[in-house]
Amino acid sequence: MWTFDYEALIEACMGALREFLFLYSYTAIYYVIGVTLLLYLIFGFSMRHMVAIRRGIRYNRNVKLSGYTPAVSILVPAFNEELTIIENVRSLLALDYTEYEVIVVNDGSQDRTLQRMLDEFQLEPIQPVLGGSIHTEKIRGVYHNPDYPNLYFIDKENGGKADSLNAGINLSHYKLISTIDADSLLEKDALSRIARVYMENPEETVAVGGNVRIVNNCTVEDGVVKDVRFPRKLLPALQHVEYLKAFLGGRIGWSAVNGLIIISGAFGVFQKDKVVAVGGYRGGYPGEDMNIVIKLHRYCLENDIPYRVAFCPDAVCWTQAPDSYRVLSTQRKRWGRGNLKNMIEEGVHMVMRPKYKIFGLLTLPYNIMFETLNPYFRLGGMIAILGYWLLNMTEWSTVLVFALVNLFSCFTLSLGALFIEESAFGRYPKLSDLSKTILYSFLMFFGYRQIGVWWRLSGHIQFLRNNNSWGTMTRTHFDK
Amino acid sequence: MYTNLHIAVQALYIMIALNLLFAVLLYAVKLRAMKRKKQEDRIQVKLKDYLTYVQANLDSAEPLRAPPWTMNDAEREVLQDRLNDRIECFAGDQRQKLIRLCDDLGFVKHHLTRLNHRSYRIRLDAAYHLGCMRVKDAAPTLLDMLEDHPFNSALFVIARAAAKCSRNEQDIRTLVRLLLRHNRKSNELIVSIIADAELDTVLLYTDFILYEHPAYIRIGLIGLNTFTDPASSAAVYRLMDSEYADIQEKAAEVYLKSSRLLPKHVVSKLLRHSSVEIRRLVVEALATMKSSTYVEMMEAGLTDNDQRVVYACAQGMLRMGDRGVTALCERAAASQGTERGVFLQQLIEQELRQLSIQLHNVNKLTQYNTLLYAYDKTFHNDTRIYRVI
Amino acid sequence: MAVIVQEPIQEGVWQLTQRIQDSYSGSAACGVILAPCASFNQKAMEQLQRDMRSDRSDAASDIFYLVPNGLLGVVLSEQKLADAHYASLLIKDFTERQGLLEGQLVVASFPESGELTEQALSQLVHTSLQTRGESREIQLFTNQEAPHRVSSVLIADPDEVSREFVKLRLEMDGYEVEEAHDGREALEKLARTMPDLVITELNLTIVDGYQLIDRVNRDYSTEVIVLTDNQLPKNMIRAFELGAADYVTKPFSYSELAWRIRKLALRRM
Repeated sequence: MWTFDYEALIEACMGALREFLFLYSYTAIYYVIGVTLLLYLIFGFSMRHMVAIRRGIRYNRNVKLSGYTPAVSILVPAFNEELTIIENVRSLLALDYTEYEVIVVNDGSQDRTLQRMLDEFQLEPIQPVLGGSIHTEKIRGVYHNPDYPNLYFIDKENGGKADSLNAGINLSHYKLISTIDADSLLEKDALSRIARVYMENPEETVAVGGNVRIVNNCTVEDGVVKDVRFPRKLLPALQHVEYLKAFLGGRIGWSAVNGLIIISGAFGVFQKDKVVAVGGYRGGYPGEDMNIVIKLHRYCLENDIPYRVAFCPDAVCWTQAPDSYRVLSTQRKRWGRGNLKNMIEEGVHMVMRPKYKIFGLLTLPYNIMFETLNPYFRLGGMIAILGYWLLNMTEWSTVLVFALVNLFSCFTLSLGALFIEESAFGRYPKLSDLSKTILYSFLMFFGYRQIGVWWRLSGHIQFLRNNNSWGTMTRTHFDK
Repeated sequence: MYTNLHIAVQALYIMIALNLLFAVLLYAVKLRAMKRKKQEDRIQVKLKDYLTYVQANLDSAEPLRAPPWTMNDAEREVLQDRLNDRIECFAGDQRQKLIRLCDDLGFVKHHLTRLNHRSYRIRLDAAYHLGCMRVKDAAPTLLDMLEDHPFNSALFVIARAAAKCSRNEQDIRTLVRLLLRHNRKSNELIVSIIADAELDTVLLYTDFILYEHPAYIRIGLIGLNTFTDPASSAAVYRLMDSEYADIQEKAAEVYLKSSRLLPKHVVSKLLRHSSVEIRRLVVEALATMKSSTYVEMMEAGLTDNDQRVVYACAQGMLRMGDRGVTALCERAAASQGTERGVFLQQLIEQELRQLSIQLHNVNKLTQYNTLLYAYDKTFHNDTRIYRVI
Repeated sequence: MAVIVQEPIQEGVWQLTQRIQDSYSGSAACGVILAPCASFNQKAMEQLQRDMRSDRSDAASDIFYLVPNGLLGVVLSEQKLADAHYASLLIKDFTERQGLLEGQLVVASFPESGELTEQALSQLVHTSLQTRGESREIQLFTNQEAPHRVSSVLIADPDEVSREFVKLRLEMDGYEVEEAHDGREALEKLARTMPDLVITELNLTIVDGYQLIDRVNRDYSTEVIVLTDNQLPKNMIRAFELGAADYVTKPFSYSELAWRIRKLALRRM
């Protein structure tokens, strides 16, 4: 009798489990269909916007706006950048732009960043005249040399990237600020291209993002990218196709509906007074580049300020992609932490509230469901599949078919992003580059994606353990 | 479940087929682009001598002649592009001669017919090219195109073309009216577009600042800012009391830039203005006048609440000769012990340091001596007063 | 007893002189085109003559082949440089199609390309003989004298259109011209060639225009003219403070630039 009861209980449990797994499989399928459709929608916006971008490039080729472009303060936070800082500053000082200044902020580097800058540009300490008053770590000194009137150098105690940017804002003299990573190279005309987008609607354009490309294996001469090559190593190659997809397939579309949630820290331009109005960059935690954009959306929407966050894919910044597993994983875990923090801190207050328009109704739900919570759905899916298999609920062929459908529908988007690249920009000259890009876009689904999910999850775990460290980013010289 | 799988398999086939199709499409796009590039390079080589002929003879009396062979469409396109580049780069008679050549080559007629094409893409392309060639006849159609054009980048492409083709001031007025309808404050861009018109625009801008509409006033002020016409200083004076802060600022900038003489009451009024930017501009304007009569007014600036104004003031006084330097040192000494006093003294010392490494320059040497003398005298240094000669 | 060897070059110069004397009458212009060709038979010559006539009926041209030099010569009486230059396009097209061309064509028109002297013609033949090779470009010959004090120029400009144009026109006016497309190249060429004048854009990569002006003024006795897109008065002031002698903004007219260079040359006297 007892035995009977026991078996019935197991049977009942199994039945419930089956029921649950069955339901879960439907949820999972709808989740996947949902995310795919949404991605297609965004890609559709990208495609539509691309036509305008192509026209902009073609018909503004000859246009010289010099004399009317807004002055820009370029902020370059530098932490242990002694290898590349000189070359970068030299290249920044020679941009093709009428009125701008370069403010390098040394964030308490432990290497010789400070000394190399002082020696190279013969900088002398000056009396700092600060226009802004965002709180930052202690400024040790501000340096300048009248021979380089557009260059300022701030030396301050270590306080993180956001803190450095805030210090730069305090010193900056112009109404627009541009943030640039010290390990990135800006194309000569990147600022003027952004300026053109900005000038079309200067009051409402609170921020403009630039396009980030991978510089690994490209030939760099005197801070100018001369010969564009496909990255030779595996990880940079995978990141290259990942960036292409994210920037061209995604961000163009998001910006077209004014739902852009992130402007890469590597290169973006902002209205200074708006950044100051939202309290500057948030320190103490990674993800400050996403944080500032979310805060700008929130500020403008709450105060009924008409605004747009634009993206300018033809303004290019070349950046070094990490080529070692260790560095890449640290970077991605940091992104995972930052993303989670931003969603908890800002996202939840705005999500699904009509007041926040597209941003609250589309961008944030997308980000929370398909970016932040993605690892859990994935993990749940894995366990469910395991369950199906153990309970003989499905055959491997079914799983395979669904996996393949998912894979190819995602691959279409990669091809779409490539289509935008080839028809509007065509930066990679050789046919073999295209073949390689297609190949790596495909390979991305086998291993790289999955590791990405794992990194994000580890990031979340770090977050819960309250680990705020930055992790190291080893730099190499640019290829000569 | 079985039917679902069935659908899924079908979807899989469709997906794979689509992917293959897209991949093929992608290669087609790439190959076409590469072929285009190659063809363009070839044409470039072929056209090189002809372009040299064009550039070498831009000043000869006879008109330039068409290439001595019949060009195909691709060649015409490349030549048009190259000529456009040169029209933008050269001015005066040389530009006119290139435009005449474009006309002789039939480019103007070609694009004028395209301007009435059904397809918007072609009309836009024609508009761009006609703009490059400054085809006056295209102006009315271009302005018509702007009439119900949505607000996007192409709007400004057409607007620029219309400005380049404009026949008279009236065209520009129409253009500005059409652009301002969108209410987007793209004023700098609009002025840069007007600057492409081959017209004298000072009068237009001087007229714009008399309008009621603030957008016109802004455009007028931005436009006037590129000139330094003493007549405009009187015209903008009134606008420094405008209800809009940015207009006050722009007006002050034009006023300070174009005035030869700054009356005392205006300066003291502006020095009390609530905008830091305006106070800084006044101080800088006074400094550039380099006249010692303004030293007294500059001293007032040293008491400003904002550090940026104080800094600009001190920097200005350091460049105003003996009187400026002495006044600055005296002020710094008078406020010794206060935060401002320390700030000023450090500025002076910083200047001394910087001048001391540039003594090979005679001007800097004189500046150094003057400053050092005044500094030592006012701060009663025990050290011997010496001069470098 | 000295044996007088009639060198092929002298022979060519002499023949050319004869041809020109036949059609050159004092004040009128006279265009000359030389093209290195392997051979040029009578039939080809008649064909070319027809082609050129059909293009422009009023032009009187004399076509001949200088056998010892392997040069096709064309003398165009009463044709200015523009017409001679245009005729050279025709001749190049023709000789290339026939597979005869073996180097660069050299075009001149006197007096626009300088005074017509025997020495000028000899130089013309020399130039033409040197250009035999792979390149098939058309070269403009000039015997003009640049102003004495400013005769060599370095142009630093990233913009190809304006750089090449200024170079071409200055060379036609007899200046010796070097070009650089960035600041560092400019400094290198400056050190190597020590030009009398530097024409620079302000927006230069690596070393910008201001730094270039500063270096030029510190280390050389070279003059600097700024030719730039940059129209802000602020930048103009800074360029002058650093020692620029003149400031021209784009879009520019070459005649204005040339006038300013001559003015500068006068000042340096």
